[in-house]
Amino acid sequence: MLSGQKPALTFEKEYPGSTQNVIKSVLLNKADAGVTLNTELNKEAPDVLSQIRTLLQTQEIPSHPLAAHPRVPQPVQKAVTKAVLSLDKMPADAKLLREVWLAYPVTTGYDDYCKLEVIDVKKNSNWGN
Amino acid sequence: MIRRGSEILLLLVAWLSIFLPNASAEQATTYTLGVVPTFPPVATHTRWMPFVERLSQETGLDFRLKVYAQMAEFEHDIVSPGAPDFIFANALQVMVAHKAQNYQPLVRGKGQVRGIVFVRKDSPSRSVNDLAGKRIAFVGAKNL
Repeated sequence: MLSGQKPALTFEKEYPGSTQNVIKSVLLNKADAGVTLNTELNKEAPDVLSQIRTLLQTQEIPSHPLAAHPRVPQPVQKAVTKAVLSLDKMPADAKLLREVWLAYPVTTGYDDYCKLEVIDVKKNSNWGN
Repeated sequence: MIRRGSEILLLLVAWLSIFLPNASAEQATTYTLGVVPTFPPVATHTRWMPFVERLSQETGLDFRLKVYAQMAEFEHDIVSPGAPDFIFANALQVMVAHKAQNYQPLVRGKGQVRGIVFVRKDSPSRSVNDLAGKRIAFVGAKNL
């Protein structure tokens, strides 16, 4: 999100490894700002959240999908999709879905993700290194 | 009579030999599922195996979970010729995998995520432009 700022924003980076450590870095003035996901930030206690202020939030990004390689036959792709959707109907299975970040599953497609093509991921994320 | 019986048996074996290998190959198909290494391999395995087993029961298909020790290893794998049959990856990785291999997203959790830039409440910074030249903490090097 910051890599896409225009004009380009130059800044120093640090990688403390977890959202909690990012928050600590900011609260202890080791970093001037922190970056994380809303879903991670929302897990923090109210007294922690009361000590920080949001400067920017991005548009919504679809969560991690289960995706199929084109070599996988269509009937198999459909069977997997149907199975994941049906697992949500049983409480015990729904718990399994939450464990793997597929809570309340919905069907998706590349249309949900193509808006991210504006980001040069390989360059900005040091892809594969 | 015995000769005729042998002929029938041979025909039966020949007939079965046409169909059995295909049936067996079909049954033996195992689909690989590569999972983004958000957690260490053991933790990923612990979280995902109950789901994979349940998915197998529900579909009647075999899946093999593929876990990775390093993000770099996963990112290489999903754009390589031997890429997994299924992947679970973040939105940006799926976008790259789609461009490289034409992976198609099938299903996802309903929730959506937003990136947040935040400061201490008493920070003088009022916009991201005020962060020029400042020190910014990210969870990891893959957080854009």
